[in-house]
Order: sequence, then structure tokens, then C-alpha cells
Amino acid sequence: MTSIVQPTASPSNWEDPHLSAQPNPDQLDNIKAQLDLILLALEAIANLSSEAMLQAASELNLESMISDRVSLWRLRQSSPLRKGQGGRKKLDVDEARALTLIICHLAKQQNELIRRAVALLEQLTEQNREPHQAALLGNYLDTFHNTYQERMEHGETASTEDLTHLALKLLIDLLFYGSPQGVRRLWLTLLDRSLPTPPN
Amino acid sequence: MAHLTRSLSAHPPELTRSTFEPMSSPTSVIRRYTPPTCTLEIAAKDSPLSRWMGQSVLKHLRFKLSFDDPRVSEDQWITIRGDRNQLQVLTDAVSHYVQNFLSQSSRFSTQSSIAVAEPVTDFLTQSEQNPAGIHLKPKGLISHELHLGSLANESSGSVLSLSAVQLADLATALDECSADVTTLPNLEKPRWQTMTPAWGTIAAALIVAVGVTASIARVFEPSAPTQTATSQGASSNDQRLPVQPLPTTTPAPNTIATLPTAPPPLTTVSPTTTAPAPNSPTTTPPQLDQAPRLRVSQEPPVNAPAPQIQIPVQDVPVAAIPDQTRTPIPSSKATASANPNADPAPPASSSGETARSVSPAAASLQANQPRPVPAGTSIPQVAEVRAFFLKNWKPPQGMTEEIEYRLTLKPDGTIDRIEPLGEAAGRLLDASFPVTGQEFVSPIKGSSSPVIRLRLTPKGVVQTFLEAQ
Repeated sequence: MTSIVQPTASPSNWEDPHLSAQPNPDQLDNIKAQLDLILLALEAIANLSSEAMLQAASELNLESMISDRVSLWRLRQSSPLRKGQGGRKKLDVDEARALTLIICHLAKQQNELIRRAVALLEQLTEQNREPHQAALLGNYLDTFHNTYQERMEHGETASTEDLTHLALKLLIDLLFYGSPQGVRRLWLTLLDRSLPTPPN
Repeated sequence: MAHLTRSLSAHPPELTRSTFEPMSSPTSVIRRYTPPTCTLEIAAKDSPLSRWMGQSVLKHLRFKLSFDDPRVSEDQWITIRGDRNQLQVLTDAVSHYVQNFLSQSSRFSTQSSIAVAEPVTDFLTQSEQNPAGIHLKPKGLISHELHLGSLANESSGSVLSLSAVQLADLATALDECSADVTTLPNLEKPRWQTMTPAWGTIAAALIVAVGVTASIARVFEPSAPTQTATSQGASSNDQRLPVQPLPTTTPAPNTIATLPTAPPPLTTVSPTTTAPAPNSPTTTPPQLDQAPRLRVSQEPPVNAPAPQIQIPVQDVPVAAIPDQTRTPIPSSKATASANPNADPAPPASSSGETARSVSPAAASLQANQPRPVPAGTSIPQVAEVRAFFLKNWKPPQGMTEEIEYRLTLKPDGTIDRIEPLGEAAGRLLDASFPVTGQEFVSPIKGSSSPVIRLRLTPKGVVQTFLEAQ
């Protein structure tokens, strides 16, 4: 699909002190998972293919990093949640930035659809009805579930309820990632996530 | 551009800004940020220091923030006002809260055993630190509470409930503003009392709870004045009118006058709706929209001025219409009036625009655009829309009734907006429907923005009609 959206990132974003913080290798592990899951959510809600992501990469002048489906797949496959232990498990910081930019670009492009979905979700939740009663949400959840189970190492053992909860949370997050400050927000989220979880 | 500010459908939430100078002072600056569910306005003076800073620097800033979600009734709209410091605190609070909110989800989403966690309370402590007491708290997963602290006023109360969409819009408006505006800290005591009367023209809100608990009159926006003069907006009129039997005469002229759109209020009952309407004196024959629509084509189009005076149309005897259509108009109006804040079921317009275009007197009060369909006209796009849906859509699970949508097209043949007519229509709107920018039908000859009514049945029947050009 042709994009009518201007790339949200400009070089000056990266001079912001937050954005130039370099995560260490351990921290990158969770960033990879997070990026892959957010992309999964985008795929599921907007029926996006890797073509759309490649198109976004091209519009953002990121072709040097993500030039074709294989390179895109490899980056996403680096997520520790994914099936398949062989193959590349690395994602460097520049690649993480690239995926961040692509995610926010697509989220902004799909903002109208995401808004519609979240508004429906609000409406149904308010009425104490199941989200999948709305076709748009039902399709999203089905696609998310199926794709997750297909791709992720522990896909089959994850409960439906957990996956639904995860899918809906990611959907709401996409609303924010598609806003003008989305890139900054996502980057900070990734960095924050990479901090060790406080013990419960 | 005005219509973009309120659209929830095909238009991305645009942030329009207008800078103009009121006559009172040549260096005054006013800016507005208008995502769909709130409006942020700031008024400030341009500081002479701008000259040295090389950019516009403002001082004596005052802001007005209106939570005016068009999906809820106007009397639930809240407005708060404050100065530069309060704006800063609010912006920081919202920004931190959103960031925390996002981090929360990332925390539990990537654990190998995906534990469903309630939002952790630890991020409350951080947000309660500011002396103005402005902070946010989550309320469950979907709703958020904005504690207004020093920004609270009598009509707003101290806490506002915000949905995710409203929170996102608020964050967007605040972010855009702070990126846009450089303000000096208050160097002297502000002398802006004279500005407040300008805000006083907006009626004060009465009730606090805005958010998810508010009844949603319809999911999608009424169309803009330059677009279709349809009954969609009219249904919103009806929702807000005091309960009155038909026919009525100017029940709430103020309400009507302040609405951004001014369509004829001949709303009707959707033939497919199953919304409770216990007070409805008659039931609408379901095949209503078929016959009258065909008859529309017999009448010549009439354009009209003064869209404001809509309500009196009800009184006009629609003598030219067959009896079949007369009955439902009063019944539908009673239905709509009887359920001013009824959950979903926004009345669709079937006999609505029939009456509008058929009765000369009624038609004379129509808005100028778009033109009602004159005799026997159609455009190829009507058939193309039908073909599109026949190809791409099939009845979803759980579809028990017919559903209708109003589709507005852009001159280039892509979709401008989709308005579901009825609660079921909104619910069943799925990804097979076109989105902005997607190739949909061929470009329109004459570059107009036609409106096409789409009807889908559980059996997979697709019907399309041209409503307006």
C-alpha cells in the first residue's frame, strides 16, 4: 500500500540523550522480543504483510539495514520467544532503531484503523461484552492467536486468555505509538523494558 | 479544514493550528490543537525576547483544554483552564503516565510464562509527586483517571475518566503544543484577566464522568458541513434534544446552532435496528427504505439556504410522500427523543432523506451540498462499490440482521469516510471494508464527493444506492 504519511523520524531525534543510550547485550534480548510482538500485533490488526514493512523501510531510507524479506525475517527471528534455535539471534542497536522507526511509521499509517478498533474495544468492554463480538476485533484476535502459536516457541502452551490480554494491550499501545511522539515513546519503552524486572 | 477536527473515521486525527491576532494586542498569539476527542487552546503574548532567541517565544500563556468527545453528549463535555505552569505539569504528568502505561504492558508481555498482571501500583507514587496534585491513575485496563488537582473547577470536579482513545488524544495535543511553543517562565504577575471573557462564551460542563461509562451516541462522527447533509448528524441532534413528542418546533435552538454540522434532522429508524424503543408508538415497516428510495428519483432536486433552521421541517406536511413514509418519521423521532442517551442504535436515515428530497418545503431547508440525487441519476461508482463488497465481504458470524453504512467517497475514488448506521453496523465493521488510500472505485467524474448507501444482509446480499453527489 502506498504511504501517505511522512516519516516521523528525523536525525535530530537521535541526538536526544534518551535515544542515544546504548543498551547492553543482555538488555537487547527483551527488546528483540518486544519489537517482534509489536510487529505481530500490527500484522494482525491491519493484515500487513512483510511487503508493507519493507515499503516502510524504503520510505524511511532504511534499506541498507532491511532490504528484503529475508533480512526482515532474520531481525524478527532474533526474538528469544521464537521457535527455532538455529540461525541468527543477534540484533544490534541500529537494527533495533530501524524496527522502531518502521513500527511507528506503520502505526501512524494505520492510525485510523487502530483507533476504530480501540474505540470498539472500549465500547464492548463498557457493555461487558466479549471483544471478539466485534468483527474487527474478532479477526484481530484470531489472527494474533494463530500467528503467535505458529511462530513462538511456547506458543501452544500459552493460554487463550493470556494471549488475548497480550493482544489487546498491544493494540492499545499501538494507538500511542502512532502518535507524533510515538518513536520516542516506543524507544523509551524498549529501554525501560530492558531494565531487570524488580523481584515480586 | 474544519471538518477534519472532529472526524473519527477516515481522517487521521489532524492537529490543526491557527494563529491569528485578536484586535486587542498586536503581539497576541492563539493556537489550537484539535485531535478528535479534545481541544487544546492556548493564548499568549509574543515576548519581545523572541528577537534575541531567534524564534517565537511566548509569555503570559493561558490554556483552555476541552474534553469534547463527540461520542458523548455535549453536556458531559468538560473544560479546564490554567496557566503555563499548570500546562507544564499536566503535560509532564500525562507524558510520564503514558510512558509508564506502555512500559507496564511490555513488562508482562515478554515473560515466557505470560502472567496476566494487573497494573502495578508502583507507578502511582511517582505521579503523585507534583505540588499541583495533577496526576493520572489507571482504572482497570481500559480506563484512566485524570486527577485534576489545582486544575479542578466547580464544573469539572476533581477527577476525570478518560478512555484509551481520549488519553491518546490528550497526550497528542499536549505533545504537539509543547513541541510547538516555547514559553518563558512567568517573569511578572500575569495580567490576563481580560482574556477570560473570551472563554466564557463556552458553556460550562455540568457533569464529571466523561469516559467509558458515558453512553456513546454513535461510534463514528457525523459528517462535516461541506460533506453530506445527512441525517447522521441529525441523529446526534435528536439524541441531545429534550424528550418531546413530534412534531416539534425549535426544541433546542442553541444546541442546534452550536453543532458543527447542520443537516436536516429528519432522522429515521433504521429498518434493521433492534434497539429497545419501548415508547415507540409504531413500528417501522422494514421494507420502508426500499420503496421510498426509488421514489426519490422522481423529484427534482432543490437546494436550500439557512441550514440552521432545521427543526421546523418536522412540521411541514410531507404531502408529496406516500403515506408509507409519513408514519415512520414521527415514530422515529419519538424513538430517538425517548432515548436521548440510549446506547448505540443511531437512527439510520432511510426515509429521512427521502422526505428531505421529496417534499419541496422540507427540501428547501436543506444544506447546499451535496445535491440530492435528481431523477434517474446514478454514477458508475455505485455499481463499483457493490462489486467491491460482493467480492471482498461476506456475512460475518453472528450477523442476524441487515446493516447499513453511509460511504462518502473522495474525488479520486478512494474512501473518505464510512458511517455505520446502527449499532450492529458499527459492531460488524471489519477489515474487509476499505480504508483511506486504498484503491476502491474509479475516480469520480467532475471531482465531487458522492455519498453511497450500502446495505448488507445476512444472506450476503449487497445493495448500493446513491444518496448524494
